[in-house]
Amino acid sequence: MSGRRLASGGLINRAAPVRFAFDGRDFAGFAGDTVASALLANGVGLVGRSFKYHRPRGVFSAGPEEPNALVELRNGTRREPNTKATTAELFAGLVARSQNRWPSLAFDVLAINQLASPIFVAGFYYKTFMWPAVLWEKLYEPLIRRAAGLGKASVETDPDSYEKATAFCDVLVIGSGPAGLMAALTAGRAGARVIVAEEDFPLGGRLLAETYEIDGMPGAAWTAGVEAELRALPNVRIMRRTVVFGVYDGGTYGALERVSDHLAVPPPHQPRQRLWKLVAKRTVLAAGAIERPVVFGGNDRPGVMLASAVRSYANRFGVAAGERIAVFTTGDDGWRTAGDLLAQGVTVAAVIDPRTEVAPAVRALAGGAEVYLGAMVRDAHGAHGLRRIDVVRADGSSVSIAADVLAVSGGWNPTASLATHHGARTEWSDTKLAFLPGKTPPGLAVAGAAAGNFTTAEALADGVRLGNEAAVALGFTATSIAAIRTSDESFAVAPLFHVAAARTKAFVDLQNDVTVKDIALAEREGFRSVEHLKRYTTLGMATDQGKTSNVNGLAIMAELTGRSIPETGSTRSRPPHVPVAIGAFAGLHKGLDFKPTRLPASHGWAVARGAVFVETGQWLRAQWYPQPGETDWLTSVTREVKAVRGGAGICDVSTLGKIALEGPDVGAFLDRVYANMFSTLPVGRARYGLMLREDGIVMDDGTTARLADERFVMSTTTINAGKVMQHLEFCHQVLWPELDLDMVSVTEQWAQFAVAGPSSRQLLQTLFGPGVDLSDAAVPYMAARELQLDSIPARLFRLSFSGELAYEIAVPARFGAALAGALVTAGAGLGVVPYGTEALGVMRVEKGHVAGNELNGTSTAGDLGLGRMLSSKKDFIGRTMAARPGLVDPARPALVGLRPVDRAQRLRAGAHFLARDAKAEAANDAGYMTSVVFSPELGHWIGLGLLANGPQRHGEIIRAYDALRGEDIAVEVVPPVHVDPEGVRLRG
Amino acid sequence: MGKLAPRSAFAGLLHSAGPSAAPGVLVREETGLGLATVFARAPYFPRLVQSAYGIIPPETSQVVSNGAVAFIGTGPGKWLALSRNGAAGWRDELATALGVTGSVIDQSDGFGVLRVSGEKVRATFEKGFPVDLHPSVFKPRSVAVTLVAHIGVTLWQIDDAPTYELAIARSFAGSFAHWLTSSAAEFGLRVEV
Amino acid sequence: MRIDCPFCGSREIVEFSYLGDAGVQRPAPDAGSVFTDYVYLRDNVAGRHREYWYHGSGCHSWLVVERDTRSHEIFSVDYAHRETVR
Ligand SMILES: [Zn+2]
Repeated sequence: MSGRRLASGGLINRAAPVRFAFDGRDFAGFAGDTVASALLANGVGLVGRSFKYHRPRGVFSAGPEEPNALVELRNGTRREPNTKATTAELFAGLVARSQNRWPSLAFDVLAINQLASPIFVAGFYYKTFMWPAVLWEKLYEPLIRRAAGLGKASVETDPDSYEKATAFCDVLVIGSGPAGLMAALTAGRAGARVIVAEEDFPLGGRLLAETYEIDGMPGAAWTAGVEAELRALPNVRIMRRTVVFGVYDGGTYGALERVSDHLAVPPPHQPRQRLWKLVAKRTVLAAGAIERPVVFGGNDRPGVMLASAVRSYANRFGVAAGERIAVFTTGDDGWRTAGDLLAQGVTVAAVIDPRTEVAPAVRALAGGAEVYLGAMVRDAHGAHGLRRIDVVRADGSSVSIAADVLAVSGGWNPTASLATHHGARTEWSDTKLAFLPGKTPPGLAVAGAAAGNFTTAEALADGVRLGNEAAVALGFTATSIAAIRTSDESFAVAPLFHVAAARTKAFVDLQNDVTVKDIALAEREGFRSVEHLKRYTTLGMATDQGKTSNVNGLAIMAELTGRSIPETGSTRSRPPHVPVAIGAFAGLHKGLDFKPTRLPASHGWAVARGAVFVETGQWLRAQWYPQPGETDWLTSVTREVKAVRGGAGICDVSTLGKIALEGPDVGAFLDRVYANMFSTLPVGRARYGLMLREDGIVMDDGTTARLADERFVMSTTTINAGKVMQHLEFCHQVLWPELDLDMVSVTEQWAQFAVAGPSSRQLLQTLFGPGVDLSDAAVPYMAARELQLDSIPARLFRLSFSGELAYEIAVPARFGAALAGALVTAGAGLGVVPYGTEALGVMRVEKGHVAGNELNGTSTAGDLGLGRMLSSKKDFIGRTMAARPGLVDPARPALVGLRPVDRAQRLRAGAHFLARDAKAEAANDAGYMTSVVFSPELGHWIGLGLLANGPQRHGEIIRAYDALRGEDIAVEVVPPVHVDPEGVRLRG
Repeated sequence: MGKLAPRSAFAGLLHSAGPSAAPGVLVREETGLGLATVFARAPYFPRLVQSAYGIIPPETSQVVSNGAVAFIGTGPGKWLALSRNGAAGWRDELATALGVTGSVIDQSDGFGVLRVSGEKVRATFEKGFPVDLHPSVFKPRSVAVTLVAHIGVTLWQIDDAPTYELAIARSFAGSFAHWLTSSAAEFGLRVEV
Repeated sequence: MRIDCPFCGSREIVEFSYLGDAGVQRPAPDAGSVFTDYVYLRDNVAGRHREYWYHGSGCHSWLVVERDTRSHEIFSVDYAHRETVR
């Protein structure tokens, strides 16, 4: 193999050599190369093995449509499979490896799959591995995975970061070829805010790969001039290395910016990739077109390439793809490859065109090379690289031509898939021999080759026209652009999608190894619709999404079924247009940043005291506070419960939702949203409230206090705070806008602590000092007071969740951490402990209070033993539906307490209830255990549960059956209140 | 008992990051602000605000300020009323000024407020704000209540520098600071006091 | 999808919550079984549909959005009850 870099030309920087490695060998390329161009420049033609048959494969294209040259890029934690060598920019120290080969690229053991190809035919997943199913996991899947792989991802954590961002514009231009550049320039000059998104690293599109002149300049030079003007416009933003992958509603486009993919390691504080939402009022899709190959025997040999790619390598990268290059083209465009190669001094072995006549100017492009008109390439040969092609003439005679590269051109397919993302289909044009965009997403227009307008002149004109149309539609004044001189190209093309005479395997989809025979088989087996064809054969379902195979596959199916191409149909594309890494979609939101974390004001204080935390929605709450020597949670929690019931404890309850309600009609409003009565609540008092959904099921509960005549504060559960706020705003804004009140969340404003235990009053007296009267007469049970603590506004509620004498004290959140400390100081002589959510939970179960486990979205007030709270004096949300026979059936599972008959046994939440002699089957299910705790007070486990006819079954012995743990224990049904059923303590 | 020591929402959470020579983004926590959610309840509400503070509360998502006091439009008939004279007494002062024409709810501790400026502030905000902050669209006095990295934010623009202020619910301060630091680090973030 | 909130301007869908058909009316307190229809029965409209959306991450307004459920084209957006806007 020899170097194939041409002596001059190309847009590479020959002064900046770049070292890189491929399959362990060192190579050199230049800045401006892709991995593919650098490999070709080094004479490396074999770059990978195919997916199913492990056939040798080489570089096929020079762009994002590449089906073959997929490599593993980078090492270690950054190893990334399936990277297109044709778009991967070369950087110093780049390390790439070929894929799907073992032990080496040149000698691959699994190439034997070719001999087993009968089992890899279309539908082989469905046919070969149908039976017995048990072998899937052990045999089939590992076999398929090893045999038909596409490289290996690193299994280590990605060390790089990803970002998400949003940008807005008047006009989004997708692509920066001649059409895109002119659209951007026109709209930009008119004053519109323009974003140009270009997938490649330079602007220019095909202009970089062609030798046409525009305004007397080579395409690249002309591009540079336009780019300079665009850069000078403050209202134009150019986004290079940015691929638009999806069109979404409301002018929203998904785009991926490869910020650091062209570098060994992202620069400090920069992401690897950035996922953009681009919001555009108008869009010009100028994504160009992808050349269509012709399918013939052995067309997957390394060296068989798209003719346009051969031109790209010669003109943009200064690389001759081969030493003897033959051209097989069905249209005028392919002849330009011969012309450009000859101009660079590369040997053109032959030009083969199935047309019997071509225009003299086109014919002249082949110079002195051999020309075969009315002929086709039937088969290509060469084990690890192309050596010769068999050309068959119209009369059936054939000739064998030596060549190491065959440049193939079967016409062009517009890159219009983005235009079909809103469910539209493309339409076949018999004159353009291409699928053209039909109906487009709102605000999107298609320009240039993407619209089937393949000549440079047409593309430039489209860009000007659509750039102006977009600007004018947005109220800007159209700008005129002087006529641009371009060389005259012709795009005449004949329809030829495959060579039926092929004698060897002819590949339609190179990436998924789908052959013409597979399509024929699908047709014979009845999978004739394009959607079936695609799924049955996997045509077009690889990572390249069939960019170089779909149309050929469709045309072959049309031929097989004797239908036209439009009759055969076309597949619709869906986002994303190109693969997008999951990391880019996640952005910053991974690991601990998966979602935002809410921290109460006392969080740092709790951290300093060694608390263990638990997630409650977005909140982190202290779960318990282990003391030195305590090794298990139960010891800590039991100690905390005993300390509270024996003296005093404090617990941060700031996370509960708090909603301020103000106005003359708050009372009337609360009567309608709560099941029980609130308008009668006196100032200075709080009341427990139960909120139902309109379907009669319990939604939430909490206490609401009346601080002044027209000023209330409601508490909700931590989890439902947002939902309740939304519900109340619906009730206010939609159902009863006539009620005069306002509401806003004040959850964040107040840091609130429960102070519980027989010594809690004494503790608070110490805190507030003797000037504040906290006697039972002054602050009775369910009192709500606004007072001052060291001239700070504070609120004191006499509420109890623990069943002890207890209070909740609230201060503005900035004082929250300090208050936690002050409460502990004030309780120093009283044995005060901080306690967490776990001890809180133990005490509420001991007291039979329901919480989230019981308010499970299926329970009614009656089920929870709260049926008497449903007021009959007023209407309220859920009242009518709560009275449905199904919701008042006494056989419904209802709240009970549970105790193990053998007091030494542990209860399990989730265990199902069965009658003593009942079989453990669903028909006998009588409810389940909702909450269990170890009661320090009683010295054994206790539970709450929802049991059919529960309240009538106190005293009965039933079974708690836990199939998951294999436990089946006898439990006694008791009233839900396990401790201090008379409620003596809380009135302290 | 000793006095309770206050702690601001972003205390200990903001850290300079990235290139320090010419930081593209400057951030400072604005402490000592009075904040209150205010609802208009009667037609003469604006006149009472005007007679008390010389400004008319905007009916759109705009902020109007007299220097010491600002009314930030956060919803129909709803404002975040900000006082630079401190939290103490702010709610009561407003409630007295507005009487029965408005509801006033103290939020001085409900939000942490950041003042963010610098050459790269828009480039930073682009990484989180899903609203168009281009100077032709979002200008001094513009307000947006929105979501940044799943965190609720009220943003208003102070001047053309551009300088912005942002109110973030207090419990989210740590997560928001993390987003801001990560997003601004490439441009350099300097914390000012 | 983007919704043009009458207060906040054009915002992306993640800021909103959906509540379905805005044509339903909460029945009078003693309407009885009509409540079953109100709570459970909804048409599954293919085409223009007036529906409730809540701008929970913005101004907290309940909105009525008229939308084509097939194309997501939005024809109008207004406050659910204009009279609450004072
Ligand atoms: Zn809004």
